[in-house]
Amino acid sequence: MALLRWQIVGIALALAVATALPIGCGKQEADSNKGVIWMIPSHRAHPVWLVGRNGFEKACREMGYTPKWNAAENAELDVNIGYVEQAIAERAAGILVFPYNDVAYTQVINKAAEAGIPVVTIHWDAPASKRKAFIGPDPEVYAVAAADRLGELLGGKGNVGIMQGNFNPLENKVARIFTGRLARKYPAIKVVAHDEDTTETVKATEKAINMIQTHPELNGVFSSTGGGAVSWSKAMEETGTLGRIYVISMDVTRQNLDLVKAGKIYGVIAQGIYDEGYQGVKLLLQDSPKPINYTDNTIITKDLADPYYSQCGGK
Amino acid sequence: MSDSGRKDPFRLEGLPQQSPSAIAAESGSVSPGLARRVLSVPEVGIFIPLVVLCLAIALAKSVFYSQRNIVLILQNMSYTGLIAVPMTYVFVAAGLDLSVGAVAGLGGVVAGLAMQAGVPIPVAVVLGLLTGGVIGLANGLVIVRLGIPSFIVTLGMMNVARGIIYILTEGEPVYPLPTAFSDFGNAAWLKLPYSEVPIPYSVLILIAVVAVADFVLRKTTYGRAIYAVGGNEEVARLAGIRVGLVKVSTYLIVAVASAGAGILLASRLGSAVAAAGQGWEMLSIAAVIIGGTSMFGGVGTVLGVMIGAAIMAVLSNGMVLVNISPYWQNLVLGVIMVLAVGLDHFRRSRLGL
Repeated sequence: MALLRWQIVGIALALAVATALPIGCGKQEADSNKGVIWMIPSHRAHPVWLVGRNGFEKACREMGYTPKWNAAENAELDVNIGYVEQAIAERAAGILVFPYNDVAYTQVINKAAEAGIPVVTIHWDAPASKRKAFIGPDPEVYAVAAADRLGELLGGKGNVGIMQGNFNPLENKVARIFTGRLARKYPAIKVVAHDEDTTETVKATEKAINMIQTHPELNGVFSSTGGGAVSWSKAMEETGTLGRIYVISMDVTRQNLDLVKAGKIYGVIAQGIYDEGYQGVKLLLQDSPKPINYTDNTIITKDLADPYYSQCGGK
Repeated sequence: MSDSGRKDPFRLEGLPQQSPSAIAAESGSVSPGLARRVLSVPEVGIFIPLVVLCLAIALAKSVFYSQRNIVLILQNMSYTGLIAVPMTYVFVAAGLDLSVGAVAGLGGVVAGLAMQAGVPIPVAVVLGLLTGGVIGLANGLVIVRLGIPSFIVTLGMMNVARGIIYILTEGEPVYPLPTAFSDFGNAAWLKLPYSEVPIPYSVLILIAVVAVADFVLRKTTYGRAIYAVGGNEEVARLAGIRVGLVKVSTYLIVAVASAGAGILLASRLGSAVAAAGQGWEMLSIAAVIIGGTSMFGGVGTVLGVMIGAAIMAVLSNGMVLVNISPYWQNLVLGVIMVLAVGLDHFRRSRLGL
């Protein structure tokens, strides 16, 4: 019995140590006196949001606040809303949140605001909520810009595909605006394919290959997700169609910029994710910020890429 | 010889006539008494890690035991808890259901679409639950009648259910929903004395479901039948238990509960989203396993599963509270899960349970 007791105590102690050790290792920054500001995007490990994180952490340090960054692995809505609730429970100094389903997020944003915690929405707005301000791209502007640029590149005639990350409200809206613009301004350009790539890289590449093989006439693609540059460049390499299809994708990451400079992808739309993190913190701390703030919508081509590398983190 | 003077047919001749505990006490390897009785309670082995975790986190961050945070933990575990509880029935009957997350999403979507079509809220909720029931029935019948392994059937059904969601919604969230419906999901009913934070409906529903499910499993003939089917299906059949019916019923129950959890989530979010419930199957199965339920059937309790769900909810909450980087969280979760289950496994094997 004594042996059993010690074994159980030993395992219980190991459990306590296993709980305590990570508190030392892998810990985010210690709390500052001014408070903790949270950023809650959609994905924990998406390279695009890591760029946003860089801006966020820089701004927090400049303003004397502790940054705290958490998100679900695969944009699970209930998990991300749970993080907002936890920020409220921990009495955060402010919250930056990406409300990709604005209906679902409105209630919890209001709860934060009513608890005296300012909230700035980033990348997509929750206009019916009590958020302090919004900062992000204007999908009307960049969807039209993407359609116009592809129209020019194809000389007003061709076959285009649309690849979304998934069928979320933001990308659905972007796809509608893009398609509508093409139909009005370039009626000879047909949208021959429209799919979602799930945002997982291997699956996304397979989907892109599938689209190319199903539509050999494809000569233009608008990928409205940040991983599109990687998956489409890979797909074109593997199908031998590099240089034959103009691809416009999204977002500044080191890899995306490299692909643009290497000529594998025509361009990526900036979106200003870094500024969402950086300027988002500044907006949180202002007394009366401008409610709607649009970020960069530049289509970054080969000759425009270099200045954007400073937004990408190390590694 | 037994007390009545008749020969005991189960006693082997020539062996010592002491009781097992007396023999053990004499050998010095185990002693009877309060400690043994306490450690023999099935849930103790998993309760100790929960207490240790709570103490460690509370020592690091006092906000852990704030009312708001405790209610948040309970709310976060209520959705997967509502699935993990009936999943216990499936596991005890030696089954497995991977479709529960997708069924949760489908239940919410069907109820939401019905409301948008003008169906009264209670009827729409029933339609959502019925959808879950149909899926659960289909799972059970295919597994029992066709003999296809539950892993394959429910994996397929997971894709079917998720596919139906995307066909019905084309990826768009089902919105708007009636205000009364979303008000319910965000309202709280029970305010305890001296409490600043009322208890959400989802937590109250979970408590009620746990109480009923535990009673049914432990105290009713049906519950004993589930244990018998999971323990030894052939013996159960020979004993007159309708094995097929018992198994099908477990899949039906878990699917209805899953649809219910999805409807509750839709109520909380004010919309039914296509991706709702993703990953819930693994969370609920993890809670069941951590809670001491055997993967081979015949062993498990609802209370243990609730403690398993609590461990996962406390861990997820605590890791954020103590500021563990999100990139370390998966590692920590995995290590502590294995240690928690290891402690319980050790206890059982040493006590001969």
